[in-house]
Amino acid sequence: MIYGYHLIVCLFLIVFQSTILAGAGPSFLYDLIAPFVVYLGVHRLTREAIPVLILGGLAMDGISGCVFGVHLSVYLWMFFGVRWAIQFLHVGNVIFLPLLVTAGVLFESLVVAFSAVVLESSPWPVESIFSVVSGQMLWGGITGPFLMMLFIRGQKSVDRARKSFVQKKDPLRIP
Amino acid sequence: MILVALVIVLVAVNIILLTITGKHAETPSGLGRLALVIVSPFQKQLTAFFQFCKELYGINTSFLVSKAEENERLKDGSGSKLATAQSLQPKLSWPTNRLRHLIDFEDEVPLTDDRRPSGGPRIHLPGRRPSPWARELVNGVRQGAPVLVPEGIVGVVVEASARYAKVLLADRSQQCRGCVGAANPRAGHSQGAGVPITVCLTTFCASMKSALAIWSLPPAWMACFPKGFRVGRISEIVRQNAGIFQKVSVTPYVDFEILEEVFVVSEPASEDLPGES
Repeated sequence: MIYGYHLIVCLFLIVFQSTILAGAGPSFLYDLIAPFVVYLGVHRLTREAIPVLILGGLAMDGISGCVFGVHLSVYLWMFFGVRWAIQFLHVGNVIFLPLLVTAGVLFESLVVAFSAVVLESSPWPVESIFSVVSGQMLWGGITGPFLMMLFIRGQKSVDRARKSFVQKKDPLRIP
Repeated sequence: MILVALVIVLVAVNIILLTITGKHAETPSGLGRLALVIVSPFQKQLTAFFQFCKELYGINTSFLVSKAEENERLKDGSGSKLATAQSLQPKLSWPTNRLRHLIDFEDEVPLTDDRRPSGGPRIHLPGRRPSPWARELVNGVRQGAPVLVPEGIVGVVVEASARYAKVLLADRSQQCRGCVGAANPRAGHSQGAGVPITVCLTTFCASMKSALAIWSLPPAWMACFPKGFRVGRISEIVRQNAGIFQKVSVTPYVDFEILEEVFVVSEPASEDLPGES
């Protein structure tokens, strides 16, 4: 059930940001999956997160015009970076999570910008990158924590629904 | 120490793989096509729902308010207009009857055996309906097909599935809508008078080649555009101190913000397109 929840959230984020938010411009449109990856890294197990990250990364690489594999690489590196960081940082801190989301958005913006400037066959002008990266980092820092709260609430709802379903089916079983 | 070395090796391998895939405009192994097939129906439905909500909001607010105001205004003026019309009616009926008699006007046109009027001119009143191109179902869209509008070149089909296709637009900010974090090429563009660039395959000049090179397309795809379609105008020229090359910024003639319908040329001039087996 939790796999289905993660896949639905991932698909919704991809469709939402590639249709409705697409007209907002690159400075405002940061990747909404970046907070989701941070959420997976902080709150979920590795075996639950990896399939969603691979499918989401391939889907984003397929529908976007970036270098193929950039999103997949970014998601995987970001996930393992978050897993490494929470060994030293306190997860429940109020300041820690916004900082972690901002760092994730910044990391993704920098890698995608690097791919656009260096790796593409026709490189982009470097001077146009700075405003895009700074705008995305700002918007990611402001809205990312709220997105993470939504993901956590959704996960709690899914857990409650699963527990009630199990109890209804087998009342003697301890969830 | 071993972990650090392993991470460095993985990063290096990752960069090498990205460098290899970055040299190709199309996605490998049909993965892009699969992503299109999965994601595009949801995008289509969400866009339709969003447009519906937008239209509903427009109808419910601005349209209805303006109509209510217009109704009030017409209601106020209807009394005086009715009196004027009643006074004019006898005056207008006399010349009308005279003209009907003069041209021998018949209320009912007699029909012949093949159910056609026996004589007299027929007038066709055109109905107001959406553009017929919107109802056109095009099959056989393939990779490398040029995409055009009357204003100029839109782009190239870089990925095509059964019902959906991905178009690489001339404006790369639009092409990278799903590409979060991509740079904005318009940032360096300045609007103003420039030199128009037109596709002319017979005289394939150097400026045209550089204009199309910003798409990083294979040369065979560049050659598939029909002659005579405009690309854009040079809006900025950066002159280098030395060397024979100059940097230019090309502003496309097509306004991608209001683009709704495009023409896909199903049989391009060049037959040997890359990426086809």
